[in-house]
Amino acid sequence: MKTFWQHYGLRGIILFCAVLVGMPLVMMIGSVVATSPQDDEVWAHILAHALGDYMVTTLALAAGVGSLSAVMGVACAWLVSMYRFWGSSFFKVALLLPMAMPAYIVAFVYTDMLDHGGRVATWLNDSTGADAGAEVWFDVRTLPMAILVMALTLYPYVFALVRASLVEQSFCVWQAGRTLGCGAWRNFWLVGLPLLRPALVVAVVIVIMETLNDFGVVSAFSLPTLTSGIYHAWLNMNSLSVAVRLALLLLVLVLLILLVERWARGNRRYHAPSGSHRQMVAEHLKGARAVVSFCFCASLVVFGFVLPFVVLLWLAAHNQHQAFAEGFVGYGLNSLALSGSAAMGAVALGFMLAWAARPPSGWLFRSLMRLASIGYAIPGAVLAIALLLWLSAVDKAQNAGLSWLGWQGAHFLWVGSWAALVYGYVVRFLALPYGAVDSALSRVTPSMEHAARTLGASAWNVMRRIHLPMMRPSLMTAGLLVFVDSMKELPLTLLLRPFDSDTLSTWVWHYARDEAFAVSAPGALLIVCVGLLPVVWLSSMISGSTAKKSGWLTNKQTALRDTNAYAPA
Amino acid sequence: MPPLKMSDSPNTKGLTVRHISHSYGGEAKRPVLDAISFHVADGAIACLLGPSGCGKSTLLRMIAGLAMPQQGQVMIDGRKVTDAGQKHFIAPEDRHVGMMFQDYALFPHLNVYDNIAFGIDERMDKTWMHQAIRRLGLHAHVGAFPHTLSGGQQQRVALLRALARSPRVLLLDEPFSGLDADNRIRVREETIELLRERSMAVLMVTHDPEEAMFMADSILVMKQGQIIQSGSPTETWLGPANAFVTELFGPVNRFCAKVCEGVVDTPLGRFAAPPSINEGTEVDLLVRPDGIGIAESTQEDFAGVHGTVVAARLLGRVSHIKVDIGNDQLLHVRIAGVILPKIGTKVAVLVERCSAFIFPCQDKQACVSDRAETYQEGAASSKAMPFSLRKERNSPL
Repeated sequence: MKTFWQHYGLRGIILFCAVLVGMPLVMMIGSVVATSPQDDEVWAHILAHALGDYMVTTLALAAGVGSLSAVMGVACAWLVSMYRFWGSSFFKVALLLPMAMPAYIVAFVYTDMLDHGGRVATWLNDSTGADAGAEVWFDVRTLPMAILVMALTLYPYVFALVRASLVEQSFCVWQAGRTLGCGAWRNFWLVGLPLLRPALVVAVVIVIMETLNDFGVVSAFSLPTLTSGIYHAWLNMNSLSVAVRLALLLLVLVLLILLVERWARGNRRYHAPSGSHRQMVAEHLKGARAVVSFCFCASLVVFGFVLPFVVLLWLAAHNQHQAFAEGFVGYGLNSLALSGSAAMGAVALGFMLAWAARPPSGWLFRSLMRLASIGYAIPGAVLAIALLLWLSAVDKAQNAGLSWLGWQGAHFLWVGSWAALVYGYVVRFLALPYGAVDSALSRVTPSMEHAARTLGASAWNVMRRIHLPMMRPSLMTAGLLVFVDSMKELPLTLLLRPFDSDTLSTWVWHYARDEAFAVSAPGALLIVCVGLLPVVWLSSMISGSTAKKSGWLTNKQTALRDTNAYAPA
Repeated sequence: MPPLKMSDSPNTKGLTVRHISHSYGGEAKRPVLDAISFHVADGAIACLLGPSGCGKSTLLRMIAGLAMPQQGQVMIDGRKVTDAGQKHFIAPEDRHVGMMFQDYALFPHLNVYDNIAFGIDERMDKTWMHQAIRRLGLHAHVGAFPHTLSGGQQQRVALLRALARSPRVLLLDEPFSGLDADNRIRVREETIELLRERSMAVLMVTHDPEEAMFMADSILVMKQGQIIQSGSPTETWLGPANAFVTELFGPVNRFCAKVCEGVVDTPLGRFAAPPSINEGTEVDLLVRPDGIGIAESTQEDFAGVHGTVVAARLLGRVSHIKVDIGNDQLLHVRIAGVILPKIGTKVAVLVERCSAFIFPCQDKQACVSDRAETYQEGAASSKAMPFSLRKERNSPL
């Protein structure tokens, strides 16, 4: 019954995707072997003077951001889900808002404001009329500040996943804990935290991945991490080989974290027993407790979103003319076109991949599938280096082939092209549409497919009339996520963008690095505003997750899986 | 057992299945279907009756063209649609079959009307469909989405969807299993009415014998991939082919005994053994609980089997009475009406001969095992007393 297409075409798609993702990594590992004496010299230098710093700072940053955002996220998720206090329902949405803020933009805002000679210091000096401000002023470009800034923008991952997991648990579990003699506090430690552990582990790993991926924040705070080391080696020392070695180190670190995650999560998955599922009845908080809860949640929202957003608005309003003069519109269009193509490409490829994987095939193809969706776990800088190696090899092979065919003049290059950048985005974000499509496909039961066949639809028509319409919401959502993530993406873009061209994110980064962040503030504002779209949608989905468990509306639940797609498989 | 309505003429209208065999697994092959053959005439309703896992649904999927058998042929109106031998296979969409799934498989993204009209071409005549929608009371819901409908309404939508294309063969996979008891009776009547007015062969899969009796013109009883009996509901009820078929229609009182001089001597009395059973064979006597009557009596005026009532319960239209007939044996009796003798009442037991069946004991183990503990373990008699049973099966009647 299986046609030729089903046998080979679908597997071909899987193989194609795996090559697309896997080859750059293979090239990277292969290229370590081939080095020049010059590279070895640079490497020896870095080994002696910088690598220790890189490792310590990277690990400290990851540990700090991971634990701080875990504390922030779990605390506020617990507060708004279990209790009612003034503003608690507002916070259910508002606490997600910092997700829209790329960490590097928040970092630029705070460094711009709080640095020596920054806006606040200047204002203090002006208002006191003396240098008093400058004397008591603290150094903002430190590791703890970087940890704080990153945790403020990354805790929403923890908040979202933990809260979704809290909402899914039956309220009776908490009530049972209370009747068995646990006070609110003991209940949290003995019942709540163990139940939330799987969600928490996933969320913290996502946060740490984002931290390792980051380049904007560490460059704003001038911290020596592995990521900044990669840039330093490639852009300043011109040694791709050294960049590759650092990238490999970072990759090993990522793999270690993934292993730890697997170990920590084990096979744990807690399902609320089916049947009676009682909605959470929040307890009313009064007095000092309510005030403390309110202040805690409010401070996260204010420092993570409101304050930077207002500053951005203010800066953008004051610098719009300069921004437009500096080519804001052009960069915006670049970003739009790139992110749009990446979204379409990733959704198309993710759809084909999930479709191809539907009849579960052997272990080889299963592991190839894994490989194809691993991009999200690879830090942008590592991926960029890998792609550089791979694409230059492709360029060489292609031009050799063309000249063999007698086409001397036509040398077109993949390295440094817009296409390469789109390729990078697609590889990095393929896991999002793949996960979304995969879960959407699972809602099309085999009997629906069979019913359609007996009703006269051919295999192709079944896909057109059943699968596609049923998956449309998930596809749109995944596309939106890829679009927004590509728009925000900095480290990959910086390394892969065509020479002398910019996107919004790299433009913002350039000006921020040159201490002229204000000029590019409209660009940063635009990135934040686009980033708000999926956040609004995400918030509506979490609170609706138990309300509409059945039927067509379950695709809201896919959103949860989509957030899980952030987690490596 | 050869099927009753097997037809060899290739031009016969309706559904013909020939020698379909299929097995799963590589080396240690487990047959799922074993040389299945039958014919369902145009306009007839046939029921595949059997316990779950006997291969009914697999067979249905093969007829629909959703799976390919390893051996055998399927013909619809004389046209070969599957021939495993010649690798001939017509895609499900080109077979003119309609199939209704156990979970209904309604498309969640389409409303009721679009679901029903899914298989219909723009050019096709929709008059019947519109009438049927109205008749089944779905016209108020045509714009609604499946998940907002009740179970009965979903069932109707699924049925209409399968019927709307005027299929030549309609396959129903446990069509009523998702409904509660009240709904089931009503929907069944509607369904049979609807099926009768469309000319096509209907094959329905069920594990509910009452449903099969209600719906079918002929019943095909399946066990472990084989059709072990086929015939009209009356034939099947009155002449079950073996103990399995008898028990499929409901729990029975079972007694083990040996044929001795053409007679089976059981605690329920002496029964003439069928001529096909040899002398000395161990046999099962199966008696349906509704084939037993009781009458209050004293020891003297009745020569047959006597017993003592140990429990009596009213189940609505019937009364369920447990009678101790001595030797530690309980007899389950069902009698229409309110008949509730006092516990301890002495009764005479009368067995309706047409409700008692004698088959060679297939499960020797069960026959010689010491004691029946559960329903599944079957009847038991002690080795020392092969003719007189200590306890009839402990059935949860």
